[in-house]
Amino acid sequence: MKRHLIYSIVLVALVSCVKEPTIYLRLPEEDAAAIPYQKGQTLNFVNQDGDTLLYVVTYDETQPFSEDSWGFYYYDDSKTSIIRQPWCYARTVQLRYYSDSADDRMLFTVIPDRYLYFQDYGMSIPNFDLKGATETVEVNGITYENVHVSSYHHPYNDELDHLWYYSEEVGLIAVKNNNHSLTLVP
Amino acid sequence: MKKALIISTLLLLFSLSVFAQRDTIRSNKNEFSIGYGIGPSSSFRFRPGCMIYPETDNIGAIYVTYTRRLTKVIGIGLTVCYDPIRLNYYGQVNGGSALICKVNENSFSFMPHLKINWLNTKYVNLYSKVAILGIHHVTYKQEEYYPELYEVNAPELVPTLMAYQITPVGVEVGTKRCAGFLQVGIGMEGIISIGFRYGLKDKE
Repeated sequence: MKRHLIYSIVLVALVSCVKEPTIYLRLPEEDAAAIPYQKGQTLNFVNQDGDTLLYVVTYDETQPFSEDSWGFYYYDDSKTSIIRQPWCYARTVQLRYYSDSADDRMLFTVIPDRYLYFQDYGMSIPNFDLKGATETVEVNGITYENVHVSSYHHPYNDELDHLWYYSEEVGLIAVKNNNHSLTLVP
Repeated sequence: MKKALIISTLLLLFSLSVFAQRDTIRSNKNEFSIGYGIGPSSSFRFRPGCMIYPETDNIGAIYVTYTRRLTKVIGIGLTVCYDPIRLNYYGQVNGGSALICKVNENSFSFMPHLKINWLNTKYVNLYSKVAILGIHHVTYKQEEYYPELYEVNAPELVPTLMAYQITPVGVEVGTKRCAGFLQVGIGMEGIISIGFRYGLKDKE
């Protein structure tokens, strides 16, 4: 009874409360271009077993973004949160590898000011600042310039948590954790 | 059960005291009042999780009422409320904070009310007031200053909504003709409001 009364009061209070606009920071084209993939594009990656996997860009959309709902965009019933509402537009691209035995999806999201979110293998690199320093790296005998590097080793056993190479011109060059790895086949 | 018994007893005592005072203190048949309240329901904001919060510039609700006293205890009337709301949204522009959107909302409420004076003395009256079948009308206007950087979408407006005011207790201090009042409650008149009540002289 008490609960119903509280619900009723809240409902009545909300009916007449202030009406507010929704405000989204737009995503500039140069920031959106930080992900170099286009829908329908195909890319080959070699995994940790030496198998070549064909990934297809299956999703490329620019939508309102919230940190809480990131990671669910590629489902039709995208989740929303009342904790953090969408506040900007973000471009999200999904690369998908599908076979009888595997269904892997890599997710890239860029938000204004060129912050990138990456997710794969249960690994997540949120809020990576693409305005930060870049390196020149060599992967399988190929030299890549202007590469963003994220790496982390667990401090207690020095085990690799992840190693991630990303270029705004090429896209994902390599990603590796203690169980899996993918390396781009140029 | 015990709680219900206590409430029933209190209501009975309250009713008896009301009837006891009905014909002892005279009131004006026609009352007008003007008031100002802070925290009206039309100014409530419920937007959890938003990254861009507005600076609000609310002066509160201004309202006028007319009450026709049917008896010394019971009166009915009409309340008209006005609540101007100003919202200024600031965002990052070129590394600094700048005004990106300004919203002007004007809220008008028209509410029939029931007023019960449950204590009438020579200089002090205590009353309760309830209005639940009112009409609430909102006008909305927004201005954008950086449309190339921010997309501002106006809310879906329902122009006419329900207006209400529930005042459990209010106190009037003054004479039969003129009095100041202070009341607490929830609704379009505000959580706390003060005002002035003027009673027209009754025809003898």
